[in-house]
Amino acid sequence: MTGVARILVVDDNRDNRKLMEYLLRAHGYEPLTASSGSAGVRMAVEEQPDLILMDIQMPEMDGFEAGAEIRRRARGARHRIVAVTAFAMVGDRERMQLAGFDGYMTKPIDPRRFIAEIEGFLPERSSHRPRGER
Amino acid sequence: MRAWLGSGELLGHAQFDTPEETVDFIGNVLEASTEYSMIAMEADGAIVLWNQGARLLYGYEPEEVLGRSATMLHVDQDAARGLPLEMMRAALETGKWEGTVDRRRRDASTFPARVVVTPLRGCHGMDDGFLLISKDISDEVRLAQELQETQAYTRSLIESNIDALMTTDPLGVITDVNQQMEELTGRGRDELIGSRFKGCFTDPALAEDGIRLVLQEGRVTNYELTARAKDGTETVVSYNASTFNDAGGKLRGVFAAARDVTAHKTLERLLRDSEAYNRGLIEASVDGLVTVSPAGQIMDVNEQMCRLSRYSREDLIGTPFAEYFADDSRATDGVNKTFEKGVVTDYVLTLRPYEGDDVQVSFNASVFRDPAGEVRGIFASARDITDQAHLQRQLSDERAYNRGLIEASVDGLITVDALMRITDVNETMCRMTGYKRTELVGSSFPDYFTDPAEATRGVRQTLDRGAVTDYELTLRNEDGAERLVSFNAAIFRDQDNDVRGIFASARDITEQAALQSMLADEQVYNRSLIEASADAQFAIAPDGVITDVNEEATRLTGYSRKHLVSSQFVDYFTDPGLAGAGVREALHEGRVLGYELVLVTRHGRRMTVSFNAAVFSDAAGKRQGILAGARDSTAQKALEQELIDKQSYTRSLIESSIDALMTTDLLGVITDVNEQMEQLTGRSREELVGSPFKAYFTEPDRAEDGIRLVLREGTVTNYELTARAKDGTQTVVSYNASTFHDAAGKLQGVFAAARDVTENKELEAKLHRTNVELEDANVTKDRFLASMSHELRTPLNAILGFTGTMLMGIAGPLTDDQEDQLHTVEQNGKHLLSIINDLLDLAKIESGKVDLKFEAFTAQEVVEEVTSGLRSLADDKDLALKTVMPEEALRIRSDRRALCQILINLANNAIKFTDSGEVTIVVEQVRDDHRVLTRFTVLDTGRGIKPADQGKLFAAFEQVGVSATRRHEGTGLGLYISRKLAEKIHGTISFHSEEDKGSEFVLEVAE
Repeated sequence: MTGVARILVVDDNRDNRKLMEYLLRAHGYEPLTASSGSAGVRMAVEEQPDLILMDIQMPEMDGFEAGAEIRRRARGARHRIVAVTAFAMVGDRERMQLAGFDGYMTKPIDPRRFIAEIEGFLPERSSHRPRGER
Repeated sequence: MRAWLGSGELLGHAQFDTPEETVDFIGNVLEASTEYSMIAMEADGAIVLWNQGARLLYGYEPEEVLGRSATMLHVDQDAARGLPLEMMRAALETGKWEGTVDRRRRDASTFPARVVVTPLRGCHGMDDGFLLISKDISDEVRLAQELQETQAYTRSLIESNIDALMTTDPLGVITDVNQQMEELTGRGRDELIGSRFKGCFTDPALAEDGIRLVLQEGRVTNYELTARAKDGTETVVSYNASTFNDAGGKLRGVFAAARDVTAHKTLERLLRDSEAYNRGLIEASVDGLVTVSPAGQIMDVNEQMCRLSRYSREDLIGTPFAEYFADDSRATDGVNKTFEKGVVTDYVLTLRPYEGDDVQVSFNASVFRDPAGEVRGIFASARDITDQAHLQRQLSDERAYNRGLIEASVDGLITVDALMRITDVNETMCRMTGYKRTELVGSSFPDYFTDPAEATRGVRQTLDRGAVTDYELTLRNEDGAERLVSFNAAIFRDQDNDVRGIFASARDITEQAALQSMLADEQVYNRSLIEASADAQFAIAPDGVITDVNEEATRLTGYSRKHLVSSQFVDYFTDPGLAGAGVREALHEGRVLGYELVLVTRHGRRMTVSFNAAVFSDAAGKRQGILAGARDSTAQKALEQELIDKQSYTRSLIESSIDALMTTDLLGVITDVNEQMEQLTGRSREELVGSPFKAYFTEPDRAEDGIRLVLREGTVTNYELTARAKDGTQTVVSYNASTFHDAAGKLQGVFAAARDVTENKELEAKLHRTNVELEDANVTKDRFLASMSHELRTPLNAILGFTGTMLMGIAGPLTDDQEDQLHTVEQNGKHLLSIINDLLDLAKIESGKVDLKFEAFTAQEVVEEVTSGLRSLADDKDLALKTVMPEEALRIRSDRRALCQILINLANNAIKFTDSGEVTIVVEQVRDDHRVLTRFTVLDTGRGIKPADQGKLFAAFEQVGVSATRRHEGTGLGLYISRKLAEKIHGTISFHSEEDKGSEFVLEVAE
């Protein structure tokens, strides 16, 4: 395992996955991607990423289910899961909090602030931070 | 032929010296005997002597009859059946024939006569003959017949009366009753007569008191008792009773008329139940009315009382009642008596008016009480009886009228000398006195009478005047028996014309006197019977002429008895035709009940009177006229009318209701319904009333519970039941019900109004369905909005994201043109995002889907939150973002999120449109007329808003001062949304702006 933080992006939208993967990689993180809730769960259990960016609206297994399933299978491990969603209406933030997400980011994301926000969710471990950036 | 007179048979002891003297004496005797006829006949019946009395009685002169047969004095039938011979034969055989025989006068008229025939013994060569003494008894016969008729009249009078009548002796034992009394008591006449009066009533003691009161007062009116019939039926009766006396003024008993007032009582009670009914008002009358406090002070008077007393109302009220009467102690006694007894009737006082003559007034007074039964004072009605008193005197004169029909009698003959000694008597006289002739002659005449002085006076009077007639004395005979005798007496003289004594004929009038006294009794009795009636009584002849009236009738009509009697009955009514028809009907049908006429009194007052009339007949059964009893039913009419009004009012109230109404008793049995209730149940009123309420509902137990609930709680609202009509139709009704009470506050039952809520129910269900649909629609709409938001944002993520990465140079360096163009893409992308955000917010607000949560927080918290969120934005433009807030916490209660959003919008705008200077948020508490408001003011030092643009500031999609080159972000929906949100939290937004100086936006929220 490298010292660089591994961040799992779960999103059924290819363009969104591409954007976040691009941004994360550009900033020195190691992105992992999953295109469905179930794939996200599997990847999270197998790879144990440092942070999971979870889309909410997905076919078959949505972000709520996937998040809950990840926590159910974690067996003591504590995953950090942040909802990244186009649900940006009044009340949605509370909805995500209630569902147990560690953070909430709305789409469209602001690419200039995105990385700063991601850093806020990462554990205080310097090894997780990308080298030489910022 | 005169020789027989000298035989001494008649006057054997007279002291005459010669036959001539004897003859003279006989002549005198004959002259004195004008009251009876004495006829002497030969043995063959030929008349030989014809005296003055015979002349007067039969109309024949002596020369016309002497020598003719006495048979001519008989009526044909008697003569034909040989009565004359039989009489003479009997006289010869037994010494006397006596009997009543019809006699014929000279003019062929006949009359009944008492005849005595005695044989005359032959003397001086004369043959045997007879002496026939006869007396006209037609008056006696007429009297007896009259008595019989009077009795029949009385009987029919009693029987024709609508009231139950009875007479009792002074001890209260019933002596007579009429049919109505039999009906009232359920006992036969035979059973009643001889029984005690009080036995017929529920309260015998009260009944007995009534009798005592009559005996004491002479009269009692409106004495109420409850009669109990044999079968237990109770009838409330009102007694009017008076004593009646015999002609001699001796108390004979009580005459009492009972009127069934059950109906009246019921009516009264009904009315009382209908409302707290003020008796005093109803008693309003033409009489003077006055109320007197327990302290004897006048509390109130009516106008009539003022007129009577000639004092003003103000003068009278508050002054002592007794002061206004000639005898103030008697007035005070009257007041005290009323308080003591509760009621006083016919209490006569002399009222001393302010000016003018004294007025005789008769007071009827009773105590009145407050609802708690406490005596509050006296209610007295005063009637001016000055006229009435006069009338009464007249009436008593009439009563005192003595018929004086007394007949002379020939039963006894007696001669008395100037020293009052009896000088001779005849046999009849002996029989009358019971003494022998020898005992009588020589004894003192006055000694044989109960009142010797009176007898002495009679003799003297005869001596003084020469004759007396009809001098009545009571003879006491040997065995102590008394008989009334009437004397006709004349003096007789001797040859020298000296008075020798008197000759008197004594007639036993005991029987006649008894008859006469009976007749007088009957008349008095009738009178008291008529007078005892509380009703005005009119006796009316078949031709409609009033023949008699009682006192009450004069009072009722205001006319005197003199005026009324002999006038036409019908003339006293507004509708004489109707009155005449009533009289005819009574004559034809024998009886008329409750015949109502409107009487016009002497004073022009109209009153409705109810007549009961019945015919009365003479002894032979011939209809003599009708006796009509009139009752002033004005008050009762008024009561009835009031009750009817009340009832019809209630009825119309009930019927006019659009709801189905009903009343039930305490057990839930229906007592009344309206038409709507009939429709609801599909049953008629007759079917419903008396049936249990619960029977008409699908859940009878629940219906019964409803009634119980009302009885317990007093009222029930919106109690739903499903009525089932006869045809099965079910109607959901909502009941409002309450208990109702009578005037005394006693629970009577339940009044329930049912409203058909079937339609309501349907509407309700429909509304519910619509609501569900709406809710579904809303959920759908929410979902739609959410997915709209989601789906619109999603592509923007990639657009703005990659534009950003390129502009950030991550993908490599850009030419100036590329960078400029990518900026344009990014700006438009962001604008599109703002529009999407605002539109979705607006959609939510306008669809009412903004969930407001009012909670308590401080104004400071909110402002801190807003400024911290916007600080970076202000910093970017080098603007100072300031707050001015009071030290103490300003507590408000509102929707925090909405308030924040408004403030963010306002402050955001301020920052957006200010290029240099500062943006300040001021928080303060202000008061308007009646509330405390929290005011948030957002001040900026920006360019301000042109007056021309100020009007469209809050319109949607307006961005003031925006030209083709957009310098500012924003959709133009911010203020529009803010105002909408402000409305939601009961706030207002206003602004003040000066171009180039800045703007001031104010949000005020209540508490």
